[in-house]
Amino acid sequence: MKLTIKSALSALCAAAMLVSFISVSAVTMHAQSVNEQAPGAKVTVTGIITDDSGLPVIGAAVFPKGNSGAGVVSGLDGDYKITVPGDATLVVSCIGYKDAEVAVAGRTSVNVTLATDSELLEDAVVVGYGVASKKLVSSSIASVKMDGIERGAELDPMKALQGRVTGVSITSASGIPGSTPMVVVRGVSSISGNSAPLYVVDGIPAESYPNINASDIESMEVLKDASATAIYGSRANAGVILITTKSGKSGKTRINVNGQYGFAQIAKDIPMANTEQWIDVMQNAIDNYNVQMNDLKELTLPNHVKEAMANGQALPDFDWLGCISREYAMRGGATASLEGGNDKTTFYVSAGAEMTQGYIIKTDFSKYTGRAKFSHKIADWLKLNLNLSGAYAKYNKVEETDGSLKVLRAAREEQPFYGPYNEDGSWRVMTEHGICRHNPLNAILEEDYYVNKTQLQGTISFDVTPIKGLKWTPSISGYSIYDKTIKKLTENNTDRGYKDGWAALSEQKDHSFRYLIDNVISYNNEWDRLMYSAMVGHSFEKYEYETFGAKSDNYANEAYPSSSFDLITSGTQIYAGSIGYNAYALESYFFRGAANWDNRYILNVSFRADGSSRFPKNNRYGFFPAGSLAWIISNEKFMPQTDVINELKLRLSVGQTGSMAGISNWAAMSLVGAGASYDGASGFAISSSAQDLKWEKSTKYNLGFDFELLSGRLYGNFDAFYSRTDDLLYAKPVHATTGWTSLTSNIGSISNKGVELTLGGRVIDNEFKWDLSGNISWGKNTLVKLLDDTDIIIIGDSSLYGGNKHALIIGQPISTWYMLKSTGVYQTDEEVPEKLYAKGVRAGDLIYEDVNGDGDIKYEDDRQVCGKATPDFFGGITSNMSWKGIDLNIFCQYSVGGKIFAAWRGAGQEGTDHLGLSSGSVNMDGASVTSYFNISRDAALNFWRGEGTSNYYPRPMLSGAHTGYDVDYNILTSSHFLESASFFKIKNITLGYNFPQAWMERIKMDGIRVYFSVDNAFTFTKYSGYDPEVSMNAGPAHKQYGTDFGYQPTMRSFLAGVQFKF
Amino acid sequence: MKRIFIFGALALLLAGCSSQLDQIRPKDKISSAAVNEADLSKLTNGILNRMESLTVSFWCDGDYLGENFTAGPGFDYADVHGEIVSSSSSWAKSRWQTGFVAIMHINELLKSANSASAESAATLQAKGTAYFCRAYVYYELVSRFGGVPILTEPSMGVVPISPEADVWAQIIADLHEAEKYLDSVSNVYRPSDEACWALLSKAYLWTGDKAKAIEYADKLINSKFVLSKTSNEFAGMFVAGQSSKEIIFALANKRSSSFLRIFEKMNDTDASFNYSMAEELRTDLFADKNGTGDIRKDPTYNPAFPVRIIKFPNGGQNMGQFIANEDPSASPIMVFRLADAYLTKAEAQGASAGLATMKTFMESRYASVNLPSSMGDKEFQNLVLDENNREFYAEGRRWFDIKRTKRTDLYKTWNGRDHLLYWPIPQDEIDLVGKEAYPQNPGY
Repeated sequence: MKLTIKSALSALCAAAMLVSFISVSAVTMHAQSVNEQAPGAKVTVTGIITDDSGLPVIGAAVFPKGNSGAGVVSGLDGDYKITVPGDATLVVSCIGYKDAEVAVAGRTSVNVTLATDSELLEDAVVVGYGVASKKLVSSSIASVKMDGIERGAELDPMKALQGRVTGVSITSASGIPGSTPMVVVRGVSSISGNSAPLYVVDGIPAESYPNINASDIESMEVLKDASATAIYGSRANAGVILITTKSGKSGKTRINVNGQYGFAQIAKDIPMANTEQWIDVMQNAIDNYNVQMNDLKELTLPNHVKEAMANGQALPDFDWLGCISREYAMRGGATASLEGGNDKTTFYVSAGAEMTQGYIIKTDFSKYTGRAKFSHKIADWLKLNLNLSGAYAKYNKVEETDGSLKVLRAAREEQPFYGPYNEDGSWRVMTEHGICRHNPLNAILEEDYYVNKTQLQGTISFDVTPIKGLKWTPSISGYSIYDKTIKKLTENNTDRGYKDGWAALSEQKDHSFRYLIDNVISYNNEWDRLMYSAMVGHSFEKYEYETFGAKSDNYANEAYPSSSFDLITSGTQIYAGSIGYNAYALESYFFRGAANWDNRYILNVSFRADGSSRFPKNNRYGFFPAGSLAWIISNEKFMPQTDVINELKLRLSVGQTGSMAGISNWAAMSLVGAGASYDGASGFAISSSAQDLKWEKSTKYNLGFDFELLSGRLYGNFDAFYSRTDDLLYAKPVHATTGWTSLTSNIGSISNKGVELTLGGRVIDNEFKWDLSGNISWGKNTLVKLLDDTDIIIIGDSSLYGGNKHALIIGQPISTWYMLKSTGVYQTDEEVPEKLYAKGVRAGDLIYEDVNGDGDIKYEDDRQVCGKATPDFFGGITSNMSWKGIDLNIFCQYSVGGKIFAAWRGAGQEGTDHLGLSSGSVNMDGASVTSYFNISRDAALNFWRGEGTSNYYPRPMLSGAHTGYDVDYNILTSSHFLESASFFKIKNITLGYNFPQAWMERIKMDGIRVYFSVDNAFTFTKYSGYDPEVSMNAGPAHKQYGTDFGYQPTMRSFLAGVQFKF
Repeated sequence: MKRIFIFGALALLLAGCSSQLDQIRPKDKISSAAVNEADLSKLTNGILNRMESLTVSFWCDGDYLGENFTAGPGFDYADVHGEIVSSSSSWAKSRWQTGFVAIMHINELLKSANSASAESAATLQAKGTAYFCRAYVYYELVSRFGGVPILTEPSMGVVPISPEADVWAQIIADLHEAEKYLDSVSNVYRPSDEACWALLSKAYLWTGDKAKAIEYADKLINSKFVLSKTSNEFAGMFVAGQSSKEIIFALANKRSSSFLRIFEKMNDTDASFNYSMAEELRTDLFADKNGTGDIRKDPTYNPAFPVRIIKFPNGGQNMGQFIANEDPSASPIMVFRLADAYLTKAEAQGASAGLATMKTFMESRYASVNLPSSMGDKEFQNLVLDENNREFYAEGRRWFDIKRTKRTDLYKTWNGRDHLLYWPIPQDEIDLVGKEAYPQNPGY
């Protein structure tokens, strides 16, 4: 990476050189008053300016001290020639390097080595509504420079934060191509909405997860404490992530091209039972049932299986998963950027393309991005900035998340002795041709399903600088997102095709537009040892969303034309899809003041007032103050000024932020909707009742400590935080006689506390370099207060996703699992309590803890807290080794203490654990026969077969033997399906090589880098599913948080890439 | 000078916009303050629209719990009575919530109608519809839960559960009130005097006032409705564009979105749906015990397609449908027909007088009726229950008939759990208001 920075510096200096031909004075890096020229005889001095690794520094300014106007600029080989008085002192200055001063002392040849100035490079920190000098920052902000990290196969910029920034937890919903990860900053601050942070891209708050080319990103700043976030007021409860894209720099036009390509494979599979194992399980289930129920049921096998058995042939086994999945999923991407400019105009333009294939056939994601940034100085006091970007993405999908078709689960649970086709080559149809699930291959191949997302964003702003230190930045931004979802069934889509109401053609279009008008006035100045800045601003934004869709046709009554047609109008019946409108507006005033005294004491105060259309008129404005203090102990006089301690900084902050995520745009209004028509005549219906709502507010405290020792050989940050959110907005359940089942209300409080620690350093620092850093975040959140007179709210969920399994409980964290606790398997009938025995429970069935001690198991009575979905602590470890041009980067992540609910195993529903669950009757070789889902190989081989054989998997049993449960006893929602989500992942290994600089000069290039990377290399976990990081939903208070429904997994990928700079 | 111009232009951006915040509103909804008297008929339509979805969501309860169904293809059921064995039953909760949410909307309509200045046709229609619908929803609730809270106006407070008898009294009072505002039937898709009589006769039957039950049933039998006499006529009552003369009240179900499709539950065009006819009924139900040539047999069940209950035709081809259905998604939702009146009357009359009523009724349903000249009480009750099941199979009646006649002996998997005749009060509702206001029904 070092080379990258160096080439950047060279380019910068080259730019400076170019500019110097126009006006030498323009390149002087430090404005100094001109002293009187020292007397003495003139000499002509020549020399070479190099950096500390011996490479020439291009474009460095060389001038006699005190007379910057008489300077020259170093050339392409770092050479310079200047005529100065013989007793002069030469000052050599270049951006990115510390100034060097050398006495000429009559010499005619003076070579100068410049030291890299890392501090200078990182001096500016992006904060809300501006950039602050690092010297004025006293809050908790974590910054990631995108060019400084190896992202491997990960093209999503947010994932770069995972394991690299403390307090930021990132999980993936699935490996569905293009799916966005879920980001949670510092625990759970809200119980409604998705607890996602606010993303601000180049100053524009995004409505949702940003769709951006990672290579365009200069830096990402995670604002964590209230002092940093409160400037974003009502949307800052869950933290703020500022994304700053690259801007053009004046000087040589630079081109940067990257390309990578590779493939991915499934990292861990879930093996399913083969025919023989399936027969064993079902025969056992039927035998067990017959014994218990005194019945004579028999297992019926299809003729082709019976024949194979009779002839002693191998039993037919079909690999359903294999037929819908890819062995090698390709992926790749390319980006190119061009930047440059002069002293008046700079530009940055880029383009990017990427493609990822998923595990399931036909699924892929491709994205194309473009960005153009221009900046032009109209006058000394006026600068125009333009920032335009666009992204186009296409998602090719399959019916994976559909609760009924769910193709991956269908493939897993399909009986192994059938394939997707009948003998005559026609599609095998569920129930009609023996199979017990919708034919997954048919559902995939006989449908075209894709989503397009187009996003355009533009900002015009002016920097008005009438007097020194004062800047007024008016800006207008527009942000438009256009999504299109298209589905088309073919004539042969057997499962959906003939169903009334399943459109053969459907098209849904969503469009959102937001505009934002900002005015920010800032002032910076210094007085004595006081450095200070102030900023005031006003912002107005309005968001509008419209969705419009239409569908046509079903196959009933021969209404379907042909799958060759793509437009809705081709059908005979056309009906409306989803049609809707949403909008809100926000008006805000904000202020921030910062002061630094003598680089020892830093004070920041900020204030924001937000007015939102979502709240009732009398509560429209929320006020969000914050303040922070920092003490740079290392700059105190009592500290010894040695090289041992470079920095010691103590930070303290407090502030308030808010959240609007928990309420709809119309929660404050009593409304009546049309659309409740009757017999063709218009009808009105009351749709909402106005609620008197207050702002949800969070008060946050942060104590932080930063240190750097031994010139960066060891550094670290420590943060401890506590926050409490009151007046939580929640759709509170109400008794139905009110006419409502839930009403949005301010109901309770939660607290979050945690500790974050980062430690890093250069372990070895010679020709071989080894940088090692690691971080850990502990967090604990607690529900402090709930509804009046209530200490628990059960979060309901459909049995499809495992039934009710979460609850909000006072004193417990959000994301608490609340269900039956399974403690093993009854080994003998004698162990079974009397009341359960009467309900058909026998040896071999699961033991649940009888919480109320009544000798019976009832789901509503015997549930208890069974852990939580969020981890106790998590973090990452980064190791960078380099030797000459070779570098090796290893990045690891870990998470400990969370639990994941494996819904795919089949709590409350069918799944891979269901030893004998019937799918109902199917037509098998002409007869109506009960069919049974396939099960996992693990369950098939390890179920309970008698005392002492298993204490985990129960006995196989047909449903009906257990009475009194609306689902079967053994599949009640319980901790049997809850597994540890702790993991340690070697997330990425990248081996790279930078071609030597000498070669580059010969071919007139700035750099070539090749690399090879393995992503998702190894995962160490006890979880039996694909990936312990999976969660169906982002919001920790959501009913499906921490639930793995079994969508396609993230894969292990192998990539090779190359990077050119010239 | 230029500088000042630019400054001035940029300063325009400083303009405030706070008034904008008040202008944001949804485009598909209006403030409830903006709804006025002229909108009463639209609010009335909104209630009938709600009755459609309520009726369909309650539709299968009586057959499923009444052991009339087995699992359809792609489904598997264990203990059917298990759906209501626990106070956390999703069935109990969803019916309770659906019912009371509807009651609130009905009471809001009544409030608007009562505050209307003029006694226009729309006001009368609104009041009559509101009273009728309130009785209808309470009928669905009381026949499931027994006593429930009685709300005659919108209330955010806690209203305790009233005794079952009070709920029946409220239903009867509401129907008598509705009669005052409604007219004789001219459109079967609107509540009418006759619809009130149909529900009154049933309410009286449930409460044991047999004379009144007979009185109101007779009013219907003696009015203009005509029993269907052929399979085509019978089948035709359940399809879009029906023109049956037997229907007393049905819900129109002509929707352009949020379609309600009863056939999806038992006769879907898709290969998987919830319910099929219980195995033994496939041979027993239409076994021609008391007559031959039952016109309802072929429109209900086709042995060549044993998994399908074809009473609600799906419009598809090659699926054993008895008649075509032009627009399956817009099939009317049957509420009361003349058969209701005959069977209610016969049940109220009992064996001696009722046999003649049954004979009259059955003569339109069978090619030839084979009834003895006299029947014992139990034998007659069996006949009425059987006829009810043949008539209303898959229309959600069986469980309620058995509850009303206390004939749980007809169940195979009941296991003496008589407390199940009163559904559990949903635990979630009890948790919200307390046990004092909502005491749990016995046995849960």
